[in-house]
Amino acid sequence: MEKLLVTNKLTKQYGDFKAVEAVDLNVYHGDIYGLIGRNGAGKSTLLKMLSGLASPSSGEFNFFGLKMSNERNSNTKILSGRIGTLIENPGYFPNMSATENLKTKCIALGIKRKNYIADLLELIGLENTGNKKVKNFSLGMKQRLGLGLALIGEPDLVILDEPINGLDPQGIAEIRNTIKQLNKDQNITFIVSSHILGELSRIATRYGIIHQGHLVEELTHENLLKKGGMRIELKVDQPQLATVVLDKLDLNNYKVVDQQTIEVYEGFDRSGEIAATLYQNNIQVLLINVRNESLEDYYLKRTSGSV
Amino acid sequence: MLNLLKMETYRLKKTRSTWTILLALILFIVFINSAIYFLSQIDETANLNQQPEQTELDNVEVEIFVDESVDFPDDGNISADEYISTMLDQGALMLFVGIFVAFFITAEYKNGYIKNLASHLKSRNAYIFVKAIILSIFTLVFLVIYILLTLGMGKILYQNTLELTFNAHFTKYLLTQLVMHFGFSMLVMLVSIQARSLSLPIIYTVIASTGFSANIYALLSSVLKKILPLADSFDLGNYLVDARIIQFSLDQTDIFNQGLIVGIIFFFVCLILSMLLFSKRDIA
Repeated sequence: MEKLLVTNKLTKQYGDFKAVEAVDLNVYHGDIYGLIGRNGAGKSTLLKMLSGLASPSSGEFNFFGLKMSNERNSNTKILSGRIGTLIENPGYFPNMSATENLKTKCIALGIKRKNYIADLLELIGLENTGNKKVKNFSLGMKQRLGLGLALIGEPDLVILDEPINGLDPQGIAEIRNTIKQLNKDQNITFIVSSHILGELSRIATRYGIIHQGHLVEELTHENLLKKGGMRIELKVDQPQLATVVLDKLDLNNYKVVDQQTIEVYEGFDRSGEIAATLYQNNIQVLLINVRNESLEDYYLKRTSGSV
Repeated sequence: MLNLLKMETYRLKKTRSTWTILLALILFIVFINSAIYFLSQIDETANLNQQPEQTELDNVEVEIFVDESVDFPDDGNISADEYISTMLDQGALMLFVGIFVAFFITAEYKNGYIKNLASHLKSRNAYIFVKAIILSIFTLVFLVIYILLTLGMGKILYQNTLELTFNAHFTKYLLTQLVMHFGFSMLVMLVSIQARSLSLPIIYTVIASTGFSANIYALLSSVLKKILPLADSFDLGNYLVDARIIQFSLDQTDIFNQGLIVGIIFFFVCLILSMLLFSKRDIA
């Protein structure tokens, strides 16, 4: 898979304080990259550098194979418009409507396509807001407008910093579904930061754990599941035979842990079927249990010992 | 750059503060002209001395300039150029230009909209240059409104006693005022970009337009003259655009060129500094 973004020792220093230190990040084309960290870990600072809002103190990054450093260069012009951002609170003109806010940015980017704004409003679920001023929007609506502003210009990469903060469950679900849909339908790569790990675990394909300004670990969603995520814990008397049964059930993502235990990392809603099939094949099931050491647990485990 | 220009124009049309400031300017002009007219009709109008007051304070000479009263003849004719220049010399245009610049520049920081544009900017210098163009256009618009409305009010209040006479001298005066106000708008833009909040540029604008900064420069000049071998006539305010505007009037023909030069220098220096500041600093 092609790498879309690579950072090399990216650092941001304020006086003596290093908010981000020597971060080597890798984002692949088509990823939904979840950047995980507690408040003050350096997530927003890192994303500001990638968005062009802040200059790195040292280090560099490559976007689409083009090198960016702490000096704005000709590559900046080439990349202009290929990255959309929503950093911290969405920026909007409060006395304008959603349409007017989107139109302002469209004019700046020279976008004149008919129905462009109407289609975008429909995508982010604000098609019925009419002339309502943004200052009268709910928090969820404002966040969706921020997402819409980030999507103007059909960027290849969209950077979202805490997009679900302050949203109710419905708002969170809407943002989540929109991200997944855009990633699937338009192949947009996302970098999403959040400290609400449960939500992030539902959409991210890859994670970067940042702690005290350092990137502690990068791992895929599959690796996360293996290392500490959701799994079916199966204790049987004949684990070798049990693996044959699992293969027949088309469950290939598993690991034999010890002489009795198999961990299965898929088919979480098929535990009844698994147990019944094992029984039919004369394999005694000693224990079957869906374990869910969450992303949160894994994150806490990885960051509790610091770097 | 053209797209940015279109965006700023669209934004200004839709922004409430643009129309509020324009309305406030119009109401101010109507009010001040009316007030001056009606006050001049009253026999006991205060007549302040035009000459600077001098005093000694612990061996430091201090010159304080005070506003002159507007005292139009109640018979005879008033020339339009004198009428307009008297209204213009109050510093009110400076106030409205400064307030407009402060709101225009700081709005995007305050509401965060600038974050939507930052990753799309091909050149941060172009972004500031476009703002300078917009501000210059609006400064011209403000001046034109000021002149036309003042003339209109003058015609209504003084009727046939107001003579519409324009000459080369007055044209040069207006051009100098315009260029100095261009320079002032760039200075307020620089202060706004540095501060990234509304309060500092607004406070500075109020201090400058009321003439208080001119008094500060006069005080500093007196101190400098004690320390350095400077001429008695040296005044720091002659070289600073805010004081230059306040101390400028139609009959000071000898300083027209100086006013033009100060305005031009401040325009370009403040513009370049604004570009440098915006390019180097983090946006958020």
